[in-house]
Order: sequence, then C-alpha cells, then structure tokens
Amino acid sequence: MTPKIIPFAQLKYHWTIYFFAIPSLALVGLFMFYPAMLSAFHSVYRWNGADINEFVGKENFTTLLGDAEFWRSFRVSFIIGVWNIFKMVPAVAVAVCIHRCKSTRAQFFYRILFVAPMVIPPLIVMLIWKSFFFEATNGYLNRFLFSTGFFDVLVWFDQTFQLGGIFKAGSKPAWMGDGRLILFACIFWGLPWVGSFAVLTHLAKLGGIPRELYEAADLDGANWWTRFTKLELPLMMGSINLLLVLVVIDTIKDAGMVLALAGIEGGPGGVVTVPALFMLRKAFIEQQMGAACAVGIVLTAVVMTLKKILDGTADWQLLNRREKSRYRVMGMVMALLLYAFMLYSDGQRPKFAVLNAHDRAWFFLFNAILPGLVMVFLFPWGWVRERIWGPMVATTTGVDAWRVTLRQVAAREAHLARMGSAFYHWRERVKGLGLTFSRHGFVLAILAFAYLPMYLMVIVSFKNNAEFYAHPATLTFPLHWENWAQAWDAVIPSLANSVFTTTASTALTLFLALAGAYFFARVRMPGSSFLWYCILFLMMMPTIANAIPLYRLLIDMNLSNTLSALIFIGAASGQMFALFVLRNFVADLPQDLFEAADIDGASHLRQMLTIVAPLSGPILGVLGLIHAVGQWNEWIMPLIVIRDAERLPVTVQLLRMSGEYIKLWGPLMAGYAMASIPIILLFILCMRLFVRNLTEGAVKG
Amino acid sequence: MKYFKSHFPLILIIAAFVWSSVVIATRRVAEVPKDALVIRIGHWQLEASVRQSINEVGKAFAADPRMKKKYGNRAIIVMQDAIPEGAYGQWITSQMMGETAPDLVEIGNGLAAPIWLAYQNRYFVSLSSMADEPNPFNEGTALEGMPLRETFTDAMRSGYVEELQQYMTVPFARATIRIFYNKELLRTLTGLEKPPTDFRGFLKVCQEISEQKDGRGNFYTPIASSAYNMNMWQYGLFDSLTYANLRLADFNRDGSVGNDEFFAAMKTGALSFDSPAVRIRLLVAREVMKYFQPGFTGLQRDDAVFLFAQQRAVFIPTGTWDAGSLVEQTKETFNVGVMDFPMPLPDDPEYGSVMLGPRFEDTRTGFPFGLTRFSKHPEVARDFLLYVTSLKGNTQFNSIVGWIPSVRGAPLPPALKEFVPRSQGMYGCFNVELGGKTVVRWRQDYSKFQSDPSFTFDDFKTDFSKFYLEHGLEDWKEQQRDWRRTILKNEQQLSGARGAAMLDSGGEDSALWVKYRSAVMSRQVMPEVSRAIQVRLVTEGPMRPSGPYELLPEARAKAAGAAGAQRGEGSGGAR
Repeated sequence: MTPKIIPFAQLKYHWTIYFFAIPSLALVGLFMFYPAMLSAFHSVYRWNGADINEFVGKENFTTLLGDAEFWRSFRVSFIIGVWNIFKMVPAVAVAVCIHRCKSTRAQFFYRILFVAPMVIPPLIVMLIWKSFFFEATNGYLNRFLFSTGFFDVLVWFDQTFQLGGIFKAGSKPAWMGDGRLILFACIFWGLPWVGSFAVLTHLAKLGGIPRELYEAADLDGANWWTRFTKLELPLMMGSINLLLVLVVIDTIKDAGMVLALAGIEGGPGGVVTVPALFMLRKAFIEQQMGAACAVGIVLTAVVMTLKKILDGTADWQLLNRREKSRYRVMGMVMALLLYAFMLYSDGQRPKFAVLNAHDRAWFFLFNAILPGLVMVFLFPWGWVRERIWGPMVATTTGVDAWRVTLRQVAAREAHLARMGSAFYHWRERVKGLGLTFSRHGFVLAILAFAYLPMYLMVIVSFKNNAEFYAHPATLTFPLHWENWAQAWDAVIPSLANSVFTTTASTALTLFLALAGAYFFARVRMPGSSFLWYCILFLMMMPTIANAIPLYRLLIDMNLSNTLSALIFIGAASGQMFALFVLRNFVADLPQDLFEAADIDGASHLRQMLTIVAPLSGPILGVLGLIHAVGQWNEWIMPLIVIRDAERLPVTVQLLRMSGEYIKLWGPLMAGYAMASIPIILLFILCMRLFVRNLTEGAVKG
Repeated sequence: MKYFKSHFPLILIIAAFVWSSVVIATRRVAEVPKDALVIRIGHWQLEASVRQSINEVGKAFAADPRMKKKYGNRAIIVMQDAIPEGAYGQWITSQMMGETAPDLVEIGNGLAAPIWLAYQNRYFVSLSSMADEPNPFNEGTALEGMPLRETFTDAMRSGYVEELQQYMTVPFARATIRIFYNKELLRTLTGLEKPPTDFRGFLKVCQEISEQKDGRGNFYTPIASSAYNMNMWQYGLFDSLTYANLRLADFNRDGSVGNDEFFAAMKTGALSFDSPAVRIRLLVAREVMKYFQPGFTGLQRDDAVFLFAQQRAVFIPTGTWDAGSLVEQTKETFNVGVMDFPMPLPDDPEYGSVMLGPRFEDTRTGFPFGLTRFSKHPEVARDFLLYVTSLKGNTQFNSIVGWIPSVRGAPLPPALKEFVPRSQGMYGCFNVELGGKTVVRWRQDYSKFQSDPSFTFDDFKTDFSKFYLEHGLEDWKEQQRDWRRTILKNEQQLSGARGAAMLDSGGEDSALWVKYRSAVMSRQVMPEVSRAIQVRLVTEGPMRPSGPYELLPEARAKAAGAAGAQRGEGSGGAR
C-alpha cells in the first residue's frame, strides 16, 4: 500500500491523525529518546554518571578512535557476526524439512515442539552450556571429543598446522578458560542454533508458496536440492533478510551473550571483547560514562550504515542499474577498508614473515580470504556474462542462448518419458522414503538438542547436591520433591508481580504500537519520516549507556521501586520492534479496503477499528507472545529499579537464589522450571492460534 | 460456548491479570508503619546464614531498651538488599548515581578498588567522629568507655581510608583463608595423612596426584580452582612474596604500598617486572597454576566447589565464609581437612631470596559497611552499626553466621580455631590495580598468563608493563583529580573543628585547638607533601637512586659527620 501523502497545506483537515502516534511516541520519547539524547549530550563530557561533568569536546571520540582495543573489538564482532550468519542455516533447513512433511498433523506437531524451548530463560541455557558442555574436566564436549577419538584429529591438526599447542595429547581443552578457544566457545554455544522465532518465521514464508509451483517443479524433474535453491530459497529471502538485519544489529549492539559466557573482561586477554562489552566496561568498570556514551554514538552510526547496506542488498532485484552500481562500488570500497582495517587494527602493520603459525592462519583467514570473498560476491558477474562472456562465446563457438534452451527442452522431454516406467516409480519411492526418514531424523535430532537444556533443568530439579555432583544428567532416586516445595515458597510471591507487569506491558505495547503503525503506514505527514527515523535510530542504539539517565528519570518521576516503571520501560522498548513489524504489516494490507472506506466516508478511527484491528489479530498474537516472553525473562532493569523484595519479579528472585555461593542446584532448577510454567501454559493454550497466525503470514518480513 | 472456547486463552490471560492485580493491590509491602524508622542495608552476601543473622540482629537492635528510650515507640525496621555478587557493581553504581542507595552499604566487591575509593569520597559519610567515641552498647562490659576503634581486634584499621584520611567503614567480622583438602582422597592417592607445609613438597604431592586416574579413566585435578579461588592464592601466597617491595616503593612510609606508590615506583624504575619480588610472585603463581583444572579462569567459585565435592580434586583454597557450607556439602562423602598455604623455604634456590619471614595474615577485619549520604535516618543507621559492633551484637551476629568476630573479647566459634590469623610476617606489596584502564588490562593479561602456557612471563612482562606505564598515567591523573576533589570536604570538616575551637567557652579550647592543628597536619599538610613528592616522582623522575628507606651516601656521610662532631663535642678535649 502506498502511503497517502498529506502536504502541509492540507494538514488542517488531517491533523487529528497525529493522535494515533502521539501516545506511542510520547512513551518512546520519554523512556527511550530522552535518555538516549541525554547520553548523546554527555558524549562530549568527562562524565561519571553523577557529580563529575566536565566538558571535553571531541576528546572522548578522538581517544576512542585511537584506542586499538576498540578496533579489535570490531574484529571480534565481525568474526562472531559472520558465524551468526552461518548459524542461520540450520533454522532454514529445519523449516524446509517441516514444510515438506506431507502430513499437516506432523507439521503442526513439529511447530508446537519448536515453540516450547522458547520459554526456557536464556540465563538457564547459558548456565547449562557453561556448566555441562564447556566444562573442561568432565564436560560433554570434551567427553564427546575424547570418546570418539576426534580429539586425536584435533591434536594432529594442531601439530600439522602449528596452532601453538591449543590441542595437546593428554590435556583437555579449556573452552571457557583458554584465550585461544573462548572465541570458538562463544560461537559454538547454543548448538544447533535453531531459534524458534526463526523457524516459525521461515515456515510462515514457506507456507505462502503456491502449490502449483511445486507441481511445476515436479514436472520439470527438479530434485530436492533444485527445489530448494530455485524455488524455496528465493521465496524465503524476505524472512532471511529480516532475520539477517536483526542478527547484524544484535551482533554489534548486544553484549549479553559474551558477558554471560566470558565475563566483563572479555575472557583471558580480553580476546572476545565486542564493541558493546567495551562500552559496558567503560561505563561500569572505568566509570567513564561520557566515554561510554561516545562508544554508543559510534556504534549507532556503524549499525545504521550496515542496515542501509543490508536494505540495499535485500531489495537488490528492485534496484535499477545505477543504484546497483552504486551499491557495488560502496561494497567494494568497504571491503577494501575492511582489508586495510584488518591490517592496521593492531596499530601497526603485521609483518607476515614474523607472525607465528597461529597468527598466520588468522591472518590468512580474516585479512585475505574474507575480504576477497566479499569482493568476489560484489563483482558484477552478471554484467560480465551478458556483455563480455556471452558475445565472446557466441562469436567463437557459434552456440547461443537459444540453442541451450532447446537442449533443456529435450532433457525435460526425456525426463517425462522416463516417468512412465515401473523402475522409475520404484526408484522414486525408495528415494522418497529415504528423504522422508532423513528429514524426520534431522528434525528430531535438532529437537533433541533444543530440548536438552529443558531436560537438564527438570532432571536436576529432583536432586540434592550430592546426587547432582555424582550424576548430574541422569535421573536419580528418590526424587526430591522438597526442592519444588522450597522453590514454591521462593517463587510464588513474586509470580503475581511478573504476571502483572508482563500482561500490562504487553497490552500497552500492542495497543499503542498498532495505532502508531497505522499512522506511519497509512499516511506521509509532515514530520512523519523524521519521527520514523528517530525510532529506527533508537532501535539501532545500544542501550547500556542510557541506563543511568533512564534510572535518574525514573527517580525524578517518582517511579523508582514501582512495578509501573517496569511496565512503562517494557512497553517503550517493545514499542520500537512492534512498530517496525506492524508498520510493514499495515502497509501490506490491500489498498482497496482503505479506498473503499474513504469513499464511504469512514474516519481514520473507523478505518482503524474496522479494517486494521480485525486483520491484525494474527500478528498482534505473535508480537504479544514474543514481547511477553522477553518481558518475563527480563532481569537487568528490575534488578536496578526494584528495591523491595515484595515487588521483585520472578526472574530476579531466582537470580538471587542462584547467586548463593554454593548453589543448591535442585531448588534453583525447580524454581526456574516453575517460573517457566506460566509461559508454557500460555503457549499450550495459545498454540493453535499462535502457530496458525505465524504461518498465515503474520510476519511479513 | 463456541465463543468461550475460541477465546479461552484470552479469557485466561485476563483472569491471570485480574488475579495478579488483586494480589498486588491487597498486598501490604513489608507492613511498614508510616512513622517507622527503616534502615536499609545493601550487601552481596547471599548465604542464608548471613541474611538470617542480619535479620536476627536487626530485631534485637529494634528491641534494645536504649533504642526504645531514644526513639520512643517508633518502630525500627532493618531491611536487606541482598544483591548477587556478579551484579553488585552495576547495582551499586545505579543506586549511587540515582541517589537511592541504601543507608548502609557493604564495600569492596563489584567495582575496582580505585572506584570504591572515589565512591567513598563522594557518596559516603565519614565515621571518624564515631570512631573516637565510646560505644554506648558496650556499657556494663569490659569494653565500656573505650573509644569504638579500640574495641576492634585491628583497632579499626580496616575502616580507615588512607587517601581520605577518614574512618569510612565499620567491620562486622574477620575472615582468613586456608586450603581445604579431601582427607580420604589425599591418603588414597599419596599415602599421606597431612599435606606437606612447604612449597616444594606441596608441588611434589600435586604432581603425584595429577598423574593418577579415577575410576572413569580421568586424571585427578590436584587443586580445584576458579577465577574467584585464584584470588585466595594471591592473598594467601603470591602477594606475600612481594614484601621486599616495601623498601623500594613505600614513599609515604606508612608501611604499605598503595597503587599510586606502586605506579610511581614503576615509573621511576625503582621497581620493574624484573625486580626479584615481582618476578618471583608471578613465577610462583605459574608453578601452582599448573595443578589447577584446565580453564579455571573462566569458572566461578561454585564450579570449583563442584569439582572438589565430586572428589575429582584434592585441594581447594577458600575462606572462613565458605567453611561451614563446604563441610555441610561434603559431610556424607568425605572428611575435610584444613591447611595453611605452603610457603617456599628460605633456602629454596629459586624463590628463597624473597623469603624474609613467615606469612603475615591480614588481621584486619572485614564485612565492612559504610554509611551513605543518602540515608534518611543516619542517626539510626549509626546506632545500628554501633549495635552490631558491640560485644553483645557482634557475638550474636557471628555465632549465627559462623565467622570470626571483629570485636575484642567476642568468643570465637569452636569450628574456626584453625582459622585464627597469624599477626607477624611478610605481607603483600604488589598493587597494580591503579584505575579503570589498568584494572581491565591487568585482568585480561593476567588471565591470559594463567591460561595460556605459550604466553610466557617475558611476553606478559613486555605487554603489560608497556601498557601500564603508558596508560597508567591517565588512571594516576584521575586519582590525583579525585584527591583534589576531597579537599572541599576536608576544608568543611576542618572549618567545623576550627569553629568549635574558636567558640568554645567550656575550658576545652586549647585541647580543641590541638585537635584542629593535628587534623590540619594529618589531613592537609602531610598528604599534600606526599602528593607533591609523588607528582614530582612521576613527572620528573626519581629524586634519588635508591628506595625511600635507603639513605643516600651523602646523607650517611653527613649523619656520620654529625655523629662524629657530637662525639667530639661530648669528649670536649679535641679542641
């Protein structure tokens, strides 16, 4: 739908539409934009967050840009980002496997199973990965490597390529404690990297592919791979692009995962310091809030640039030749800059000859191969093929494109002829069965991994510490139900707080965001683009440096130590993502509906109530559930804002339990399991609605 | 019915919301009466016993007749904010900056030492006047009439902040650290009943343990460790080996080497990473770390306990605070022994040169609380501090929590006899954590040194010392700025003291003038002289080739000359 353009002169007839956006913008402006602006303001001050506030001009920025560690953090972020993009592959594979299940019941069943792990608090997943998988002496990863003999291969690899003794015979690799391995651990954790949201989003896209296309592909003799590459993948690009944007933004502006895995120093030697962690250290270790704000500004600029490039590549087919050339040149310049940055990021040009074998491998990988790949990817191959290679081949061999097409037609006819034979049917049946088994096997294997944290959480909740120490991952008897009783006492008082804040914040988010989305999608008013870019800016901005201004604002508004503060902050931060998604959704609604309503003289409010709201049910359900899970698991803001034990939400209550020096694992895990129950219940009850909605096009990408 | 079925989830969500609203609306938060005097106390000790002991002591404090007399019938309530250690730094930062910090705050963890110093300067109230007065809650005991500071086993030395020249905290308990060991496993693996007490012998036993496998074919880990337990080794063993630095870096001659003094010494070349004490400290650390489990730098204290409790490690170093929990965790499976840290012998060919005596254990008290300037009832908060540090209150508090009392005469729980600190010997003079930048770099490089065998001592030395000397200057300057920022506060206090002396008409004016002058001397003049010396050292280089305790040859000659002249005068017959 093209937004209706309302020029300034006609504003007097349409000014009321601003009321749709005002509540949403007021909330975002107050709780997000004001702290962000305050933070930007302080980026030119030597500010400690409190009484020291001395103007230093550009000093924070110049110091930052000359700081080798800051640049190194981008290199880490780049490596993690590249891997994060690779980590999107399993979700695509799983979605395709589920989509190809012939039974709709099996499809629905798989969707349900993939949604359930979403409710496990990320803290628990991280804890389990650290304690069970990466633990050096008896962790599952090392046990797997040693029992399969794969470790010997790694040792051979180390010796052959002189990696510097990362893997030594008889010595167990310390994934979380060795500076040379911790980056791998940060990349590897969360295997099989199948986020429920990603799978369901891809399924939504796949669900939109017309059946006729598959039939045509069958007729053409397309095998499973061709069907994927030529049919499904191009049509999934919308959801892949959406997730890619989110992954890239998160990689740059988020430090939560690295902080939880490697600590605030970024592991031994600070090797996994990402830019957001660097900022966190500036703010909370060095107490240089002004410098942290400057980091925030630089990161926002970087994220916005990346977003712009990604938008360009996502809409590649829609660009004209000149725009494509512009993007290509921009990309190649960036690749060259990246190359130069890789060479100079340590402050001096590395001399290849004096690098040790380990550094040499990294040097090759990140200083030559990756920028090279980028260049290859960006090179205008199509133009070369069309304008240079094609004519050249035609003049030398006399074969032109028309002949090739004839050859393809002949091949298709031969395939159709084969289809009639009994052997062909028998072979196809066996192949089909093999494919079906491997498809289900793959999905079930992925599911087993996805459920492992949940399994361990439940198993451990029935153990006392002695049993946990002896048999951490298997069920032991007697079952210690008293752990659940103990957890009940700790969790129940805070459950009402979590239910209240989660539901209120979700309702507020959806209500305000839908009205705001109508404003941004339906009309283009004076100032609307500016406001939209302000929201995009906030989405890209790391929020760590804003924490102190936000907290001061809450105190000034007398909201400190209140549940209202959590509701407002939750709604304001959720507002941006909701607006981002809902705006696209409303924009995609058929134009005819609104035109008909306009002819009938329906006001904006009427159009909102009779067209947008009823059609938005599915997406509101999806966004509501995503927001509710995020709000339920949120713990940083409540920890800072809420003081009284009676007002604590359940996650903070559990965090306090887990903070005890010698953990009582049973009650702790029982507490986490208990805290997950309301969300699991919500999922079970809303499952049909949720899965149907998500796959019926709720996420438009 | 169809409508109900299709909208059941929505109805359920609304019902849950209504339930939670009713619960919240009808709940009375902590039942606090309007005129109640509420004291909030923030700390990171999440052990149930600590929370319980604060609750119990809080109740006893509220019920004390002295409080009833002082505050009438107003209820006194002590509330706790027990925050996980990992989030304490961020929490306290936001609470301080938002001016909503609790009345009393535990100091020491979550932030680097220089940051705590800056916080104490800005957000905390001096307790110096309280330290000089007797504790009223000690009436009728042997400590009656004694100034508060003298009632502590360390004369409240731990509460005194040198840089601020003030008493800033009051300690509730004492703590020492020891190595715990699995008696049965030690006997099985080495045949020993008790581990050796000397460093070389201890390493030999560790080597022996590390060569043996358990039932599953895994090698035993001699020492269970983590990033947290590594600190125990530092305080317990490594830092003690740097005592020799005292003579080279104690520029203000206060008997300790502060982080600024250490920087000045490094900057002037009086110390370097090649100085024997510094070098040996790091090499000894490397020797011990060989016997930790792989990847210990990425682990937390409960991971180390997990390994120890699983009987896959023989030793674990930790403190008094963990003793009770550790014994409780393992009582069904094995017996726990306690030993002191093994020190190198004086005749050790490599490390003996720095062994100038036994290991001194910090007798200073711990679990320190400061009074924030945001306290709504500072008087009541002060009273609470006095109550917990009275003979009765401290005994009650530590008997519940199982720690060593900080107050003289308070009985020691019998289980803690092995933990009585040794008050003579060498102590640490190694203090590289200067400020934000150097703290982060030190932690990064040091953890790499701990975990990566290819990162040699020389690599570490080159990398860190270069950074330290370059960027330490910024941290050091920030420290100097912080020091300047304290001047106003000092001026205010001294003006008060001068005013009191000027206006006194009760015959104590001369005593008050002496007190004022003494305060001016100790808080303004001497620190200023020390600072000036340090500034000159850092900016202009060494004034003398030797350390502060060494006399220059000219001075020696002069002293010798003067002594000779004195002798000449005394004899009277030379002329």
